Amino acid sequence: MNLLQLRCNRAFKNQDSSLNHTTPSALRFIKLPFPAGCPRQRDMTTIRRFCCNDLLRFTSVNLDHLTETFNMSFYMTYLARWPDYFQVAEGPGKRIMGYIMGKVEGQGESWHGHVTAVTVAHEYRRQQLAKKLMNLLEEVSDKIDKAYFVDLFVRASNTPAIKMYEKLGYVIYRRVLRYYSGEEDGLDMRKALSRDVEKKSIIPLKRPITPDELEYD
Amino acid sequence: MASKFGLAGGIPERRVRPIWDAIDSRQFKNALKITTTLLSKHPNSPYALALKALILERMGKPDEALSVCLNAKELLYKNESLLMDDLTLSTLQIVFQRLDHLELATSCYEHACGKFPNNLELMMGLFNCYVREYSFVKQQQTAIKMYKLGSEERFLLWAVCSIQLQVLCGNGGEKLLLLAEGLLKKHVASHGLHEPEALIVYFSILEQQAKYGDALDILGGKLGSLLMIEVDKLRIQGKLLARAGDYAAAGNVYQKILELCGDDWEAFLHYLGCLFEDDSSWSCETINVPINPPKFVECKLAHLTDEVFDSCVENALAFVQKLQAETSNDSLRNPYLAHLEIERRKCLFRKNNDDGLIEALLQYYLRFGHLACFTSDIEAFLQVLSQEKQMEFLEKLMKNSNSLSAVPTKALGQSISLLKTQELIGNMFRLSVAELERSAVQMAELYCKNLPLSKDLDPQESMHGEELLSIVCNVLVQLFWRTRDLGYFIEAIMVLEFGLTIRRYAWQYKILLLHLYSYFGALSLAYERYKSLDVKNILMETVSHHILPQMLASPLWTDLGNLLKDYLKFMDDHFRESADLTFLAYRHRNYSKVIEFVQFKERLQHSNQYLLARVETQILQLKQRANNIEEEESILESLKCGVDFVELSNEIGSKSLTFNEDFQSRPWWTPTTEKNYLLGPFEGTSYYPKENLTKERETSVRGFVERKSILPRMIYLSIQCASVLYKDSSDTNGSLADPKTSSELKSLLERYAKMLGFSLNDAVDLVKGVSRGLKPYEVFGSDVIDWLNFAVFFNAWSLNSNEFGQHDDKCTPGSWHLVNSLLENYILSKLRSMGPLIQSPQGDLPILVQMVTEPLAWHGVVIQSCVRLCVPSGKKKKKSGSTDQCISLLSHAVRDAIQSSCSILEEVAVWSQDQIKSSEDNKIDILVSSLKRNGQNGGPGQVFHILETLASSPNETELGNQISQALRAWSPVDVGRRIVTGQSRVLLELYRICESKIKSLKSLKQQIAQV
Repeated sequence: MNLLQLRCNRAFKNQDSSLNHTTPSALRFIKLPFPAGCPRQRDMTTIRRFCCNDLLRFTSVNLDHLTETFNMSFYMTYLARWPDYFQVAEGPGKRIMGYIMGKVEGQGESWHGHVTAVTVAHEYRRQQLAKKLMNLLEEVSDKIDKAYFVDLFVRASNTPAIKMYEKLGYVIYRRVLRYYSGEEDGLDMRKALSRDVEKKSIIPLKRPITPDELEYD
Repeated sequence: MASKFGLAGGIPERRVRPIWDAIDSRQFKNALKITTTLLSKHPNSPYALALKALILERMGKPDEALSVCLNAKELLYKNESLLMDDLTLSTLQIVFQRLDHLELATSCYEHACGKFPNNLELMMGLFNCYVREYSFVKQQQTAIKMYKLGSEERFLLWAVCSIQLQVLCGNGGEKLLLLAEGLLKKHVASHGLHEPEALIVYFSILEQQAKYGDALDILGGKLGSLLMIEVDKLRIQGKLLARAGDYAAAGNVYQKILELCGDDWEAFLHYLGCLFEDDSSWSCETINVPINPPKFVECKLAHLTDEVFDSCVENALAFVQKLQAETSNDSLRNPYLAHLEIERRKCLFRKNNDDGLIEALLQYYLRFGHLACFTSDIEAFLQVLSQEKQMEFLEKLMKNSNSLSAVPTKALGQSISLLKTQELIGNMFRLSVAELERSAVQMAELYCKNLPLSKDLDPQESMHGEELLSIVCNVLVQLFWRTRDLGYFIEAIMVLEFGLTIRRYAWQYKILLLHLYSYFGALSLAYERYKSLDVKNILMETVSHHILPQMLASPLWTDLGNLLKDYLKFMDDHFRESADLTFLAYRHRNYSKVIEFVQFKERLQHSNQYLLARVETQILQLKQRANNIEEEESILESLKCGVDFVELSNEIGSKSLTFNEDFQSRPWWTPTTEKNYLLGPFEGTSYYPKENLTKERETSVRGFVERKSILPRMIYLSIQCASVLYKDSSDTNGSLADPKTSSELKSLLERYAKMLGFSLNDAVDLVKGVSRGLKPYEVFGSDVIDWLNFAVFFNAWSLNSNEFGQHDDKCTPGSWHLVNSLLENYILSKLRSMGPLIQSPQGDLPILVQMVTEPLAWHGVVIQSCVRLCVPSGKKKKKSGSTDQCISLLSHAVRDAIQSSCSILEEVAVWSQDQIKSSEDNKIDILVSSLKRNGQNGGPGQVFHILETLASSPNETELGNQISQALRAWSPVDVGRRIVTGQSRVLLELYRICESKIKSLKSLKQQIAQV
């Protein structure tokens, strides 16, 4: 199983708001207070924060046709706003093995971590690297940002990826009709974190929704 | 802010909202209409005007937008009572920025801040303006003012970052760091710190001043608890201790890190660094590190005594064994790589530990040999072994291969690793042709045999054994390179195309193919393969090198134009928006990203490829318009007659350049853009280095840009020189042209000659010698295009100078003949030696194209300028007798030149047409039949035969529906047809270029005939 990439068209949606009359003053950022120290669990940490120079080094990862290469402002917005959610795994010779990018957003009980993309280079597949990267993002969402759940979107046809996420504890929360470029349905998958004691966030919705009904872009 | 008091820029929000909505939905006409209505009620509202300007700009009316903006600005300045709000200013700012007038936006904010000195929002806007202008000092001053208002931590950090930027990216001295440190210290004492990012910046300020002890004190104190993740904290602690020279304590810290996360390779290298008291693993943290750093881990061991070294190694080994024992997870490579690294250092220290390293490598293979990353994992370790020892390792590895894993996918992985190791060591170069063939056949068989393993995989997933075909291709290209039997080359193409039939997304195949097609003269097909890689955004900076150099020497001008345009647009967009993203990092208090973003922008701005693309874009335009002197002149005018580029050429020697191309995926036979072993002898027969030859490339790129960027100016000056008549009379000092023009062109010729390694005199002599057949063209070496350019511009200059006695007492110089014969002899001899493209891969085609589109084209421009001079435009005064004579002599020379150029172009056109016309089926047959020998007596076709056999009767139950279907669709004839079509398209473009030049020359001929 090596189809680990997510493709997410909402990433594109975000890009259109770059020139907007409200841009200069509309950006407000709230950081939650930090809890006391929390060691990462072992064996997930050749992993470090992604930095700009990695954009020049991720070629072999991104030439994979399921891995989207976004525009610069997209990557840099993630780096500027959620640097802890953008992590890269590096192997000997400083080779990039894979990376994950994500964010934290929402209000009240829908405060959650979101996986925008996770991808592993061909050479380093079948070593559970995607799992390590996912665990890391979950941990940051859980321990540092005290989010209620982590979610992600995946093409409804991408069975290998769906299976992998299920193995990692994600459930299909709802179906988003024609989410991908107005054609293919997307699945919104979720995993509850420790703050959601009753696991309310992952009770599947009965009916599918349309992209307009999504709370967050 | 917009809705504060229900007002937006002093106007009720409900009136403004429809405008915003219209802009958002890109209904600009509608937006403009509502704005006009709004302006009739609020004619003096700067905000309404700013909105109007915004809309006009987005409608593509920059001039109107600017004037409306200036109007709004004036109103803001004039009307004292008006509200000076951030919404108005930020809207104006957006428009000014899009109009490339950042300074106007800044002055608006400066004015506003002067009026309302304590308004934080306006000050933030002003700070943002300075961020956009990269005015670090003013940023710092503004941030300090904001800090003073309420001692907010974030503003202090904005100031500190601005100081750091002055030191790192500006010309601020390191003493400034002391100021930053002082500011932080004072703030910490009174307010503490609350953001982990603030602490990280604090550490970096201290580190830059080598105050490691102070940083350690802070880390150990109360502030240290800001760092939430234990491992991150330990990493900082370890680094600070090591840099402070306390290796023992640092070593302990790294041990702790490794106990927490055993897979942290970097931590292990630092741990070893501590043990051996060697700081090399920390010292390489510079900004412009190459994107592919050397695989070899730097280390210093010479300072150690035998005893110390031994005890260090003992400690390290014990620790690694402990890590290995504690590892429950089988996929953790780090503890085993660590063992390899220790053995490697033993080799480096004692030089007699080869066997120990070989044994460790064999162990690593047993454990991880099935992984796709096996070879890249061991690459650095292999490098310390001698050739013989590498071979010894390989032999032992081969013996091991008898006992492959029982799991089929693992066994396949192990076999592939073995083959890749063989490739890595360079063993393939030692094998005989027969052995190589056998090896290719075995790999192809292995691929076919293992196809069923991928039966149930999604077609988008990569397949088991996919890499085998890439290795087969490498072997076949090598067979071609050795034997020059084209069959192997075509077989290599077929193998990859076959692979793509089954897995159409395999980018590794596509890259290899695009290089093969480029070499085969089917550049349009290569470009298609390139496009299918979907190279966009930042990948254009790292991946374009696969296709750009070939395209630059090709007649595919439209494709080249698009390639350059897209790339430059990406880079320029980034430069425009980067500062806004930097400001975003400021606002979100991710201060370390601020520094990173600014440095990254600088790195891209210094990209050698960016520079090259800018120059080449202009050269392309000049090539495209060369048949029409008026159009050529208007291009030159838009380039300020090439003055800026000459400046670039002057500066290039001292400019810092970055090299961001990722060469890892290039095929072995063309490891960098400058090298192509298929065109000549292979340098170094045993091991092919894939290292980034930056130094060598740097010299070559600088030379290239230096030469290319004076071309526009030389073309411009040549036109000028050819626009004035030369009269050999003593009273005018031999020249009627502006003496400045003539002397400038001469000095550029001198420079050009110098770049080619000659003085002007010697260069002229050499060119004369070659044109008279006294010297062979080979003396020009690989710079033949530049030499012929030189000759063309020399002739243009000679039109107005007799310094070299070019005129032989006549009005027209003998250099006309020199250029004509140089071009004619060279191009025609090339044409005669070039066989049909289908049977002889590219070779001289790119040179031929460049000859036609560069020197010959520039010569054509000079001719056009002369024709314009000779042909009376009607209103001119009657010329004197001596002028008449000169004109007549010049027009004679020009007629000859036209005749000569025409006949050259006609020959090229005929040659291209012959190639295009010859029967497609014949050509396909030539391609396919070169493989149809079925390899009975060796030779090409054996691998092809295996693949054909598989495809002819696929076993659907074994292979599954998807693969079987793909196999049935496999058609080598289609591949052949695509190659033929690809070549024809290139030739057709060349033919068209020739035809249009011929047409233009013929019309010149008619004009000059009237003289």
